[in-house]
Amino acid sequence: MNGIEKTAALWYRWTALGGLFFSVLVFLLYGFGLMPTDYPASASPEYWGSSAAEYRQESGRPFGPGWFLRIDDGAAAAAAPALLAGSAMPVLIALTAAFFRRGEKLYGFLCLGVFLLLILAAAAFP
Amino acid sequence: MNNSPVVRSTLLTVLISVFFFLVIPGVFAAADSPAESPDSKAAALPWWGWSLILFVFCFLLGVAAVTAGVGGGILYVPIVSAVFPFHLDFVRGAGLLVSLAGSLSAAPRLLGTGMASLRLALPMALSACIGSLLGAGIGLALPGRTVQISLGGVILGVTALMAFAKRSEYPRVPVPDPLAGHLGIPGEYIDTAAGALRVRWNVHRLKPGLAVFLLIGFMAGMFGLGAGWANVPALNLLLGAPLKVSVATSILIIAVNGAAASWVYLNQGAVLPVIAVPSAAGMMLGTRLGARLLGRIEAGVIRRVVIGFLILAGIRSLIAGLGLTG
Repeated sequence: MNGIEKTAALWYRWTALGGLFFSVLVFLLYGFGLMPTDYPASASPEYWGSSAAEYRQESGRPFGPGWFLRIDDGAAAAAAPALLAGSAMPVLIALTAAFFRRGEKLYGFLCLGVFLLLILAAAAFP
Repeated sequence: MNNSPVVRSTLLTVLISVFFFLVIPGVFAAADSPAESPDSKAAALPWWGWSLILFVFCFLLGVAAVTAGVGGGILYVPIVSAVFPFHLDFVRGAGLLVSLAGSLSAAPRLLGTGMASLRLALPMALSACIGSLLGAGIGLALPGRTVQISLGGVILGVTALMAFAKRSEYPRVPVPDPLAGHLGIPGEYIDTAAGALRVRWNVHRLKPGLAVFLLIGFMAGMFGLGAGWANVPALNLLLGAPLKVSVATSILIIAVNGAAASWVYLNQGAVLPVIAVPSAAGMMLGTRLGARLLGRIEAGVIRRVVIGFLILAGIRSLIAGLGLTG
């Protein structure tokens, strides 16, 4: 295993553990009503048989870009899965820095490109 | 004759299928129906009861997936959508997070073996990532029945691929791709299973590979299936990477394109925490236990049962999509 693979393995180990731990923690806080939300977990069975489009319309929950800025305005429900979905991002930042440090600019830009795509997806662009 | 693995697998598949496709959905439908009180819209079973059942179910699915040598993502969407009363949109959203959690969990160990190649994974991941963003967006915009019918077809295709696709331990790469050399992709690893054999490898057909990964990402994003079922044959048979390098590198690619598509589902409201989080946690722990149990249980029988089960899940999805269910 060379240096770059070591860096990736280390970051994957911590982000996987951290992502899962915090995701489950936030999920339990949300589920048992310990986080502010206008959409409690107990309401889920009313919507899980409907499509996502119907759910968006009926629940009145905030969706789309910037949901994380409205975290105490009912978007807390999305925080737990978002922590899992975001787990790959720290690895890509670490790898971008590691590739640039090693002078491997092509791979540095490749990592940066993948990272920016994830950011755009998270920000619901376009 | 009665004790042959094929007979046992068939009997097991029939028994498990009757249980999962007929008994369990009936019980779950009763539990999901409103409670006695006329003004109550809540289901008879509380949300945490569903989450707990889902966690245990996905834990067992994780054990079966590793033992059968398939990814958790490919089992999750067809089986959970067939068994649980959740809309396919939410199952696909959770399926992507399940694949992502599994790949994040396996990545450090695979990178440690020296078989996962970051230099091969990154260009393919960029292509798959673009495909999965497009696939997720289109998949959520399509009518539910169209997705259900397509999913049935894809599941049957994937099952055929799993059952019949040839794999090559050390494929021949007669003319390595010059672009691969420029990108520093060629590598080597020690194959301990083959008596500490030092394997030097290279790849060819990099440009067609990038196009194929765009398509794989598209399908993974559209159906929330993960992508190991397609990544491994593409890396192994098209690009010419050794089988072990293909399996390990595939995990790194899923960690990126699964993340990209799951953001699209999240932003479209297609991820319910009560479904996604217990599923991902259960699958992650189940795959870890499955890896420890490998060698202690009869993997061949489980693989045949899983393939039989997927065929039935694919047919069921087609029937549901075509509106042929009662």
